[in-house]
Amino acid sequence: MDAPPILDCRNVAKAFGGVQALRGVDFAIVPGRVHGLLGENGAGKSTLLKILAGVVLPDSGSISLDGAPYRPAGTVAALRHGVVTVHQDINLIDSLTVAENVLLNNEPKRPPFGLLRTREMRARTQKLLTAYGIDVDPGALVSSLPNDVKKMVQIVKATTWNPRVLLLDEPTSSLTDVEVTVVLRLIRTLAAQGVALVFVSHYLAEVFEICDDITVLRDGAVVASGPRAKTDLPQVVRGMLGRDLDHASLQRAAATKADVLLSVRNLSVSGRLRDISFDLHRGEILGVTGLTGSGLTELARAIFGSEDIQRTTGDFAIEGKPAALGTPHASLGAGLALLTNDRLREGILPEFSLLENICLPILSRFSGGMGMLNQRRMVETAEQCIKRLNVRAPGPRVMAKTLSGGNQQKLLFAKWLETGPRIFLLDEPTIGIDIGSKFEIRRIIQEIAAAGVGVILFSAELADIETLCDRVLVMFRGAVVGEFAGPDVTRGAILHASVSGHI
Amino acid sequence: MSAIVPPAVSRWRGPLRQSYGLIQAFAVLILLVVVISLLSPRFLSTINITNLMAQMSVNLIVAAGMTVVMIGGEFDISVGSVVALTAAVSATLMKLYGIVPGVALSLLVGPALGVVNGIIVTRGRIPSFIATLGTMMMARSLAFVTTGGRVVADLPDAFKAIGQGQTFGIPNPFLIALATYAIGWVLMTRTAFGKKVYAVGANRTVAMLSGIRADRVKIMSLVIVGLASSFAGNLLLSRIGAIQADTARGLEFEVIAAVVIGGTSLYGGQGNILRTIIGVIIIALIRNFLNLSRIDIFWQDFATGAIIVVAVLLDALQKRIGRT
Repeated sequence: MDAPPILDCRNVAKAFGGVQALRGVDFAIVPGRVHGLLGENGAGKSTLLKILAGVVLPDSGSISLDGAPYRPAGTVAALRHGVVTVHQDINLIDSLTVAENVLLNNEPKRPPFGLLRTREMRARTQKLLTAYGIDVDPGALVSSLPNDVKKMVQIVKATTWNPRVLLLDEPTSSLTDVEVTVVLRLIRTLAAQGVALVFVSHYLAEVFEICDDITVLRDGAVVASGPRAKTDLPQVVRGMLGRDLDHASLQRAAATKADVLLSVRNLSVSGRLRDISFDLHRGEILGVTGLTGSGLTELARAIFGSEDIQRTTGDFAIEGKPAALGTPHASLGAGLALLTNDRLREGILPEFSLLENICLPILSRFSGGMGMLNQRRMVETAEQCIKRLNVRAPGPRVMAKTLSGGNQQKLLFAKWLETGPRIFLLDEPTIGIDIGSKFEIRRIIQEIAAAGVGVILFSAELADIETLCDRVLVMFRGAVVGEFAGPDVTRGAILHASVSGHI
Repeated sequence: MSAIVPPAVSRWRGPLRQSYGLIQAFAVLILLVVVISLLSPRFLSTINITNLMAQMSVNLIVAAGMTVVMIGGEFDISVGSVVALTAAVSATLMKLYGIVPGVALSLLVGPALGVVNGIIVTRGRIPSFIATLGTMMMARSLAFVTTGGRVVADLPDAFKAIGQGQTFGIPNPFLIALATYAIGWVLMTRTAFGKKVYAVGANRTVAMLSGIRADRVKIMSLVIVGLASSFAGNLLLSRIGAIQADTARGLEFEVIAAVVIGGTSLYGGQGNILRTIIGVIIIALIRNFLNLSRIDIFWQDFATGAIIVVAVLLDALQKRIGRT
């Protein structure tokens, strides 16, 4: 790091209640460079970002911006100093156009009545989009855009504040592998223009691809920091976890091909899925992958009989016997379970206890005379589940919202495993959780399959697909366009099929 | 800092927060009793208290059913009309065929309308507020048709004895209402159905994907409030000894207000049926106080409305504080 840093944090500390979130962190970023900030959930990344963005004030330590003391009193003050945050969620307004979003609350107006200069808005936005090489019509509605374009529009919107420092919080977490490359290119463009960027991400490969410098946090302290060239991936992972990752994967019971558990024939959903047929074997982990929007979630829901998907055609058989699977109730009865991809909106009930979350699908098991529930057996069941899946929680009666993301996901696994599924549909089971939990969940999936359950893993995350799956189906615009098995399951081949629509 | 598992303190937070609400509501109630008894000496007289108990029992029973519906994320504003229609049907049939057939048949009125409401809401995907607005008007009309617009009186003494009698000095209707709450509490906290109502109200998709037939649960909860309303209609008839078709107008909003003051979420998924008792009592006490102090009757709805606004604001405020 030859050039002087634009933003320099020295010995910054912050506590929330009794929890020391940051303990004396040094962190410096340089114009024109991308600085990766890594760490598990709870390591202190978000606290550091919040301090830089003016959301919270540090308890001690000093920060300087361009040599002058920097202590923003709020987010607006930080923006005025040119320290701009791009949040993890895509916070654009779907019902407005690209131009209206980019210039929101900053619109050129025409006196005396303040009417909008719509033509100028479009022209100004077009200029920005062209400057960053983004091919989208400023008059297009945001709701009509794919995810990667939305993310880029969000970043372009941030540039209207003329940032000197741009804080990117998990900018790629909602994107698929192909979309990521496009967004990463935009980030490099910004760096070339002399902006100092902070790149927070769980995706280590991306960090190594794009960052010039890397800082690793653990338990609120810096455990490693320096140029990317002087470190490597295993070293960073060791730093994040404080231990070596156990890469040894479980030996799976080899799936016997003759043993078909579920067969799906000619499944179609008007406008979303086209004529899908496949077999799932006992003890198999079948991967289904593709770009966002290729129909992964729709397929999972169509098999489960979710009421928001209306099948036009489709036949199912479980162990050779026809099964209707017309409603979730029927599917659960037939031995299916579905883990949804939206943990917060369609997974846990945050205000309910772990106990209630786990027992929801199996309430009838605890109903005794007059429909009264056997509370003691419910508690026992929940305690066993929590223990078996290593959910870190003080007890079965705490509310689900008090758990971390990774533990909430394990709670959902516990809930569905307790229904005793023979066929387990997993829709993006490792999305948005920290790397430690991710490895734990991969192990759980392998154990489930080893026990003879047929698992279908719907995931756009190729790392999961590659590590876990015996066989992979690739979807493209609602149809299955390719199948890979055994040694052919490689990232490159799958990615190629996902993008091109053929093998 | 979402990943940090909170320390063991949080083990008690769930149950404690629930009982905290109950204690808080109870404290408001005690405070209200003290203030009213200081301002109005006649308040604590035996006659006033027993009257109050007898009068509030209809609201109590209907509010128990309404709590179930609201925890499930719906409303039923047809309850007032159902009370009137049930009483009209019961009184008319009773005079023709006797007490037992009259009461038994009239108890079918509410559940039947509940099924109708439930099917409109679930199959037709109509907001329950609107669906039950329709049945509210229809039921009211049927009540007028049944009575022919006249007062139906001269009911059998044996029937009136139930609602007008006392046991250990406490009016029977009040004891019956409390028994309803015992059943309601068991239903909501100790049965699978109760858990399903909470789950459907909190997040319909999660409930559905957990194999819960959400539509059935909603229909059933509307049948339950219908049954509660019909039961309350008979109790009202027994206590008054006569019925006219425009009885219990506006009951629905007084009851919804009581449920909200009792801390049940307007958005479903959260609530405690026992706290509804306190909500009903608070509204009854305030009306009683306004009566005793001879405040113009036209101001009474104003007062009730103001209390609802304050209760909802306090609830929202508490949630916001709890979140940070």
